Amino acid sequence: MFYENKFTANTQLKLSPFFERTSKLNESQEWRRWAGHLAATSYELTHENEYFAIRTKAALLDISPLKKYIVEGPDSQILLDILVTRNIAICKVGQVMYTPWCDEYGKVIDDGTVQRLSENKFRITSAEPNLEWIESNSTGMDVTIKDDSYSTAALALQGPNSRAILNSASSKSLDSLKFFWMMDTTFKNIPVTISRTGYTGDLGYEIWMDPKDALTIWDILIDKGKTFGITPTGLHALDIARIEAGLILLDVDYISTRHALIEARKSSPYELGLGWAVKLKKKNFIGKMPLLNELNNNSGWSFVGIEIEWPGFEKHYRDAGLAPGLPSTAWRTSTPLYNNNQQIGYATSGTWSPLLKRYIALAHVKSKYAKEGSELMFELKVEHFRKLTKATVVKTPFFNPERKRSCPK
Amino acid sequence: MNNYDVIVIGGGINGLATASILSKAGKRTLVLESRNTVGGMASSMEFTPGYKCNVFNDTIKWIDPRLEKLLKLSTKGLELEQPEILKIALGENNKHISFHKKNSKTVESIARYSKNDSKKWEEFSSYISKLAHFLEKLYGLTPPSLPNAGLKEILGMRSMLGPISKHGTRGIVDLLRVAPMMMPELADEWFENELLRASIASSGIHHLSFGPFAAGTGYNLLHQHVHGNGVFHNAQFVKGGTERFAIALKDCAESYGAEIQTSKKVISIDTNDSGCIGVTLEDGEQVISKQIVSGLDPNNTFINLVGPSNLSPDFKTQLKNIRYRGSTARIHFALNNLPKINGVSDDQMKTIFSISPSIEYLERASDAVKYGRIAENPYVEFVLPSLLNSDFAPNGRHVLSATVQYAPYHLRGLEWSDQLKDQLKTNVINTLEKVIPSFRSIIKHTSVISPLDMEKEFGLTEGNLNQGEMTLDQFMFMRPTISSSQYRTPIKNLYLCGAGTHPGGGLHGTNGFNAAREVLKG
Repeated sequence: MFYENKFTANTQLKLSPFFERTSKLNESQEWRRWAGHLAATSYELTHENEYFAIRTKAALLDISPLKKYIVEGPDSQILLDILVTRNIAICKVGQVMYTPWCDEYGKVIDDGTVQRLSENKFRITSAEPNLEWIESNSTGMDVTIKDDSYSTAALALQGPNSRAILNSASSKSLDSLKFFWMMDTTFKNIPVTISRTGYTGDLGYEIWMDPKDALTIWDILIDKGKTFGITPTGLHALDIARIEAGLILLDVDYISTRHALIEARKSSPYELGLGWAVKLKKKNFIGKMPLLNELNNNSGWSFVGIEIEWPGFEKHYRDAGLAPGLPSTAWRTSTPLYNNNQQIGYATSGTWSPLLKRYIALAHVKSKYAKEGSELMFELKVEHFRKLTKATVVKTPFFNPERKRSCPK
Repeated sequence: MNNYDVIVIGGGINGLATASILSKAGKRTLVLESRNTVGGMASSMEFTPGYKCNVFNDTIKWIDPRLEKLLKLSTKGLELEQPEILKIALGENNKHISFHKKNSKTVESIARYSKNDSKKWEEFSSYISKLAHFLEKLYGLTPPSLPNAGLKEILGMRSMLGPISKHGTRGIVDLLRVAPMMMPELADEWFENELLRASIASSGIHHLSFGPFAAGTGYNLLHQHVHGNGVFHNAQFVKGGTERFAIALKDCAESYGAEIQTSKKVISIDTNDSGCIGVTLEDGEQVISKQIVSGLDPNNTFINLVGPSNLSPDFKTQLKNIRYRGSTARIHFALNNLPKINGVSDDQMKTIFSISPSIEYLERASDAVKYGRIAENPYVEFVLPSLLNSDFAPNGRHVLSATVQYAPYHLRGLEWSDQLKDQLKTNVINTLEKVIPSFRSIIKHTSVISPLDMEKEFGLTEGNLNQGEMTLDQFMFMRPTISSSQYRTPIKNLYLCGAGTHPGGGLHGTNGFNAAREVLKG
């Protein structure tokens, strides 16, 4: 007996402008919540193919749930400059900057990108809603702030073939578009903005468009991408890629100061490995003085990459009479880290890297133990019993291909 | 320019009081005033050739006695004159009640309309005076820093023990009851005559955007009666015009070595990581100073001069939440003759008149604010300053200056234009004609100052004459904001001394006195 699939469901969650396509493609019907939207966890029954699309072909991700804000007006640069930790004064038109932003105590509220659309116009992207924060900081400034979350749709095209696909769809070549820069172009006369950004640490782009063009753009990319192995990709595959790239995720690797219940749950940019993005030479920005203070007195905590060493890991499973039990997807449960039987940190997300064939994780450790090569013990549960196994602090990103930044000669 | 110990921004009463005290204490002090004369809220101007007016204030309710004690302003030419008749409340059908320096005369005046009320008058006056006595002590203090007040803060409040021991805990209970009260209920407890009730109520809405039915108008009434010596509607004229108070303070400051420069507009308060370091003037000149005291309102001081990018988000939110909402306009009339006021004899003219026939009338006038328009039948208080100062008008001619409520800064579907000012003028003339028949015919020239004009020409945010509304939620340690209520600010070495600080507006100099004390503490 065969039944026709007439699966329908009601949801209070918001649907992305691409839902018409993504819902039909999602064979697994696995969805996650992302900023109040339905977002595909994986399109196929397992995410492996999608992961390999990111690393070897081209993965197409619907990133419309990202929060987006437009800040426009004569004081927009001044506002952005006090809002975020990076120096927006040096951000040129067409450039994008990744940056965290902090509260008055130098603790991170959120992180995202700032795109300079023109001299006096910026787009901010973020994981969580930030409109009230941006508005409240604009007191006395000549700016208008608009929630762009529903007026701009976005796709990410990530992977080694992404440039070739976009070149075949775009009226202008992307060959000279540098890492963290953006350009305006058209696909079949439809205007789009393409930024060379992403959350995979690979060669990749993000495409920003009017939601009314969303489906047409999707179809153009699928059509042009067919021969390049374009693959609609969900969040499971993305999660593995972003850990390999050493990129943090709000509410997983850190808690926004906005909803941290206790002081200990808050993190400064230094404690998240984002010290490079804190520009203390700027005249003023929110959180500057406490951050200056923290820099002078050293942060208590550091954020590092760790690798769980294979021999010890394998041995624990062998002792239990099992083959090594690798996680099939990225995990995000806080896992204790020890040194001399003292807990000195915790890993917040980890994954088996199918590409690197290494078991990797991102972790908060006390700064004393943050040095590269530092040896720690990672808590492992083998057949219901807790074990400790050796792990080492290693450099991030775990995976950092040259193609991420390079341009064709 | 040289380096200074202190720069005071703004040459108003509080700025000049601060400068006087600081220079007396040996600080090299510079006062920078953007207008071409000092005075601020005490300014005078020639509004049409040959006619002068007190721009904002024709009278002074009270002056901080500590200023006179410290600075001996009477030796600098400050002469105050308490008129025989402090106020005449004009009602319908030529009725009026006059309030006198001598309570017995006020009692006589009230007795014409209500025997009952007249019997209670003296008790009422001393009741208000008793409650105001608490405020007198409170006003002399620097408000405690909350929420972290400790023993030091509590000990700092010990001067409150005076009024407590004098009036007992009953006094405190009465204060806590009356301050948040609304005017009609206070009136209900004492009086039956509507003209009297309304005149009392008018004292609770001074420069507010609310009407007498608003909670907290009790506090506003008490504020007008601080240092009132038991006299209700207490007021004083300054000989030569209100401006003379500012000039006396200026002369005093200069006698102690302060430098006072006019037509010097500060365009920024310059800061670095360690606090503020000086100011930049409109002509580009920078002046360095160890400490800066701003007499401007919090919005001008912080948002316009320090700049929003140098303020913390929390403090900016506090600043944004200060209510200004100026709702008072001033109108100056140059008159060809002395006006004839119904039922008032020529020898009763050196006083303040108010047109407040009933509490309901005042409340209806205030309704205009809610709907974003100007009052059709406004509450008008007026003075003929030319009767007190012969140089205010050519011989035989006169000036009538009116304070008009309500004419809100925030309008709905309207904006402040010449046309709207003309409309306000017409409304005021119509109101005045009810007590001065054919007032229209003696007008030679009219000058209307709207809240928008006050903002543009005098730097008063939203045209609020008190640098922030005088309400209980913007009182004491909440004035101007919870983290800047000790005359100090989140920016190191930057102090506030204007009416935006405790204890609020009025030409009393208390803010300036208290601020100087904090500056000297360092």
